[in-house]
Amino acid sequence: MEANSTDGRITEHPIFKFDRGKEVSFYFEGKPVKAYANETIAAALYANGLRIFSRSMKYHRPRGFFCGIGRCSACMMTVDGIPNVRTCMVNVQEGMRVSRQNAFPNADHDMLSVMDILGFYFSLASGFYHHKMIHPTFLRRTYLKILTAFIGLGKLPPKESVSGLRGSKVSEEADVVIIGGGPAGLTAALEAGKRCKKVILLDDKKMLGGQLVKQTHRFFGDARHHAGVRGIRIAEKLTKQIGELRNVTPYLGTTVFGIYEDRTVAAAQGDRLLKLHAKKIIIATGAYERTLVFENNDLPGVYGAGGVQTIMNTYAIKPGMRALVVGSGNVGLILSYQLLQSGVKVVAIVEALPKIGGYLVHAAKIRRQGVEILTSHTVVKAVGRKRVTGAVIARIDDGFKPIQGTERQLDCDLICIAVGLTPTYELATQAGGQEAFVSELGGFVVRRTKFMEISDGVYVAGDVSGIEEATTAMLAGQIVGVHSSLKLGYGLPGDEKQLEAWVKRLDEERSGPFGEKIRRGLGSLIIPEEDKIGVYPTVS
Amino acid sequence: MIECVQQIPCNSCALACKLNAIHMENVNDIPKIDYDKCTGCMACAMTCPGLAIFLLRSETSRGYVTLPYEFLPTPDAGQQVTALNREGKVLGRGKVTRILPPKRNDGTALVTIEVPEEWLLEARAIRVGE
Repeated sequence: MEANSTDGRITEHPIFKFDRGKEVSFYFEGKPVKAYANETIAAALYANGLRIFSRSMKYHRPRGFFCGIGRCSACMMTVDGIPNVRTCMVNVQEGMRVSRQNAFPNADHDMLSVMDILGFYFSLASGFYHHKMIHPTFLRRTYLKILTAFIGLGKLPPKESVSGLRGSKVSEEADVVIIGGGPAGLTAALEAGKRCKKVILLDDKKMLGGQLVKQTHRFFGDARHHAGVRGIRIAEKLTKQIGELRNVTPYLGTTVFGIYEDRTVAAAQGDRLLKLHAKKIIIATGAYERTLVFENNDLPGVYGAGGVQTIMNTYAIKPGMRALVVGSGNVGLILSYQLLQSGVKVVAIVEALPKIGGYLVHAAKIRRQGVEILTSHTVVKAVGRKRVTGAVIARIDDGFKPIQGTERQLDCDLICIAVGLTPTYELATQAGGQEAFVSELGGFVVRRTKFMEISDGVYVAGDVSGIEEATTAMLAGQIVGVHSSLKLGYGLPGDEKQLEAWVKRLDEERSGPFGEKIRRGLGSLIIPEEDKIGVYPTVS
Repeated sequence: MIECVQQIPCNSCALACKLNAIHMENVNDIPKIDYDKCTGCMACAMTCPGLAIFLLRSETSRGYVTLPYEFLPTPDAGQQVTALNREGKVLGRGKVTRILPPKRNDGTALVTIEVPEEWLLEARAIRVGE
């Protein structure tokens, strides 16, 4: 553990009330660490001042808490002998033994990081050792032995660590299986749950709500549809409603890894394998965060906006003291406001475009707190050796190239990347969806009918169908929830009318200037009902 | 006064108003206040996601600005605070005359500050505890 062992936990917050659970203690590289039962290992370590979570595989560069939602693998450690555990996904337990991997003597002071310098001098391309370290031939085995000591991830677990694991298989049938418990998945599950006999809701997190649970701000939208209510409250309300429906079974901590023929959903929940046969599937997997290329962008302290929100708003831990926010879309603006609410100073927001991307009312909230929004600016470099100690920003020209002589260094320990999202569309294409690249919607998306059906019996809803707002995601969830039930013969009186009304409201939401991009993006994506294909991957 | 200048899909103020004093053609429209109907009850300001609604009043050459506040610490009535303009620049001191406590409105306090009349169109935020 680094010298800085001050407790980074937030004790008071204007909006959130945090329940950390009871105090527990675990061992990190031999030393006891104070934590709370509701914290993940990564969160507890962050609160205790740890910033280097791992070393990169080849050059042994320091890696920190990046995404906080089990995507980036920068926080993988050995836990009770099991290697490559994503520590941001596993809660602490009393007496747990945690250590970092692939570094000598430890990840804070890794002598193997000499690879980073060697790489610089010899311009060692990826896989260089396969080309350069083959002569003389009799030394190949020796080379290999040394190289494997330098690279790779983790060590094989000892027998006693894996003896307790008992894999089991479960097979279930359901009317509707919903993948993803964010705003779209939750409303879809609610509507389907009110109508169908059996609904299964899958999410890889430990709680429902998706990104809603991290939002302190009241939502825009139609007042008959949660506008004026905080994101966190919407999540609480929907989760409670789901809990009241006895025919909806949420499987949390469950990762879907494939959709196979005849709408078979394969998922893993810990050491349990789930095989779910669904009559209808709703894919509401949301989006990934995009990242930005600049010098040292892998330095601990450069985090995705979602990761910062996770550490700050889910676990109530101060992500840093002074933050630079990159991107002035709604995510960047909201994140800046949330940082201020947690007592973190925002040194500036940089935006590559010549104007602010998000809503001006969001921008005004942080402007009047004295935060500067620098348009036509970007970050060119993260400063620091083992963690961020500053950032170099510069003005950019029309071609988005930094203008020489406009660079200046800002003093900060946090660089938050909020440069947009891209749909998590992989499962949708696996389930027969035809993919298309639509930059207005954030990247690859799938073609769909008016009611968001992408192939026979498979639907998409929310950000996976194109990056928008939670408000539209919730409406889309309702639409697919009702439509899928209707198709199964479980409709309620007046459902057809209700569906048309919701589709109309969705169009109305998108009718303003901010919906222009969405309308343009959706234009070519809507396919007639009869054109949707029923092709599933067939096993040869 | 509603400082909502952009067409964004939101109508929470219009539907919060029990007197129909806020007009909107559709969800993307910019809200317009009918000052003949408005009583200054602040129901709209309590719900506005953009924190863009302010109540302005002038009386005996003093200005009173009611603004939303979602930070800590929460000021008390009678306390001196720093008044800021839209860019976060310090205007000077202002006195809190009334406060709707944050717990009464799910975390968003409505703070009324007394400032010189000429700051009525300037003062839009406060800093507490300096």
